[in-house]
Amino acid sequence: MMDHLQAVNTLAMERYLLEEMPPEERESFEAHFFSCAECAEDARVAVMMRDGAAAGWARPAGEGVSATGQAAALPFRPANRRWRSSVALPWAAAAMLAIGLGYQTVRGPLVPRPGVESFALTPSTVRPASRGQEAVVSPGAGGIVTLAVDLGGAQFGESIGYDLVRGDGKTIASGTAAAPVDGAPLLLMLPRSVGQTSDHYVLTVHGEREARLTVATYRFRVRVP
Amino acid sequence: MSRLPRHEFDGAYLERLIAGDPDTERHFTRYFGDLMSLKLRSRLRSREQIEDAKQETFARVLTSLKRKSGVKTPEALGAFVNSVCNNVVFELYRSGSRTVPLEEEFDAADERQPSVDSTIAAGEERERIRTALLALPAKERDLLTWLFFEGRDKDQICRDLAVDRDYLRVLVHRAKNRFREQFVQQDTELE
Repeated sequence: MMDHLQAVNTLAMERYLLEEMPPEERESFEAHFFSCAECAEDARVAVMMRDGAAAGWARPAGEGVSATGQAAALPFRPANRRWRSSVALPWAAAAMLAIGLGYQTVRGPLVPRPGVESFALTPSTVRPASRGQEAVVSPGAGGIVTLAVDLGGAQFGESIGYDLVRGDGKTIASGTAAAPVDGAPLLLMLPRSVGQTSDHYVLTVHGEREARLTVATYRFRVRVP
Repeated sequence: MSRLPRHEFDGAYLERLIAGDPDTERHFTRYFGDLMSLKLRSRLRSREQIEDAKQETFARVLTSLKRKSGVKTPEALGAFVNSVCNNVVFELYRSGSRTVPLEEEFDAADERQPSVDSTIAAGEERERIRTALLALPAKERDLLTWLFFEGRDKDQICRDLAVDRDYLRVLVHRAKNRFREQFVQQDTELE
């Protein structure tokens, strides 16, 4: 097991936070900080700092938050609860809903062409971000980017808050949407501007009542052909 | 340097824990809950799995303590909790329906999710954490945001800052120490 002097001299907590430790050393350090009062205190400070930063709190107040509501969330409410026993069915139903209700749901940034009664949305699935990975999504019909946000089984109340921030830090959209049923994705149609140029984005979703408690973060890159 | 209160475990603490003293139980779950949050996020992929593992660990440790087994000396409580937590994680890997074993291409845990009962979930402390973060110099706030909010590639961060990986650790170390000072300072002001 790592001793205290080793932990201090090698900046073990910093390497642990930065995920630079091989598995054996990681386990050795964990065994140490569970037993060492001083390193346990350091670990608790580290987890608060990291969680706070992960929730976006290290950004100046107001950055990443706006009330423009430029994105459109498409609620998903399948009629038959028995279908929820399958993970696949809510996703399939969500895709059908996106295809069928596109015209009725579209407002604001997306204006259907005159004479077109309906058109298909082609949602791209995004999953919670991890280790620098980002999904690559392409605009669908009309240059519209629609996301099927995998909530990963996270529990929400009646509504979900979301913030979409571009790579340069500019807030693109914020708002709230009715929480989908268990297992179903949140369908989010992004402002038309998102589908015009290739760029990086960060989407965060959180419980509306716990306003800034980030439940999940999604990173994706829009690739315009 | 100012620090959070340190906790040394003694016989009286264990006796209170075994007797079900609410304050001691609260401290126990909070203290080790934080440590397990840090540990489990690199091993389990969902918040629910992490919470399951923590609750199962607490239950097993308390059961063992009440049976007078598992912990030979009070100082060994931390090592015992870590050991039980390791066992719980291995069992979660093995169980089929509730868990997903780690594979080469597994979707790594989103470490940017605060756990439900970590310190961050408590409203008052959430504000203290936010205040402490916002009191950091802009460069340190940017660094923490890039690392833990945006999840930027660390090598790219080093190139952008014109530093090497060793110095990146030093920057994180300084940010952590300054965060601690700001956080503890609020404690002092409250007293």
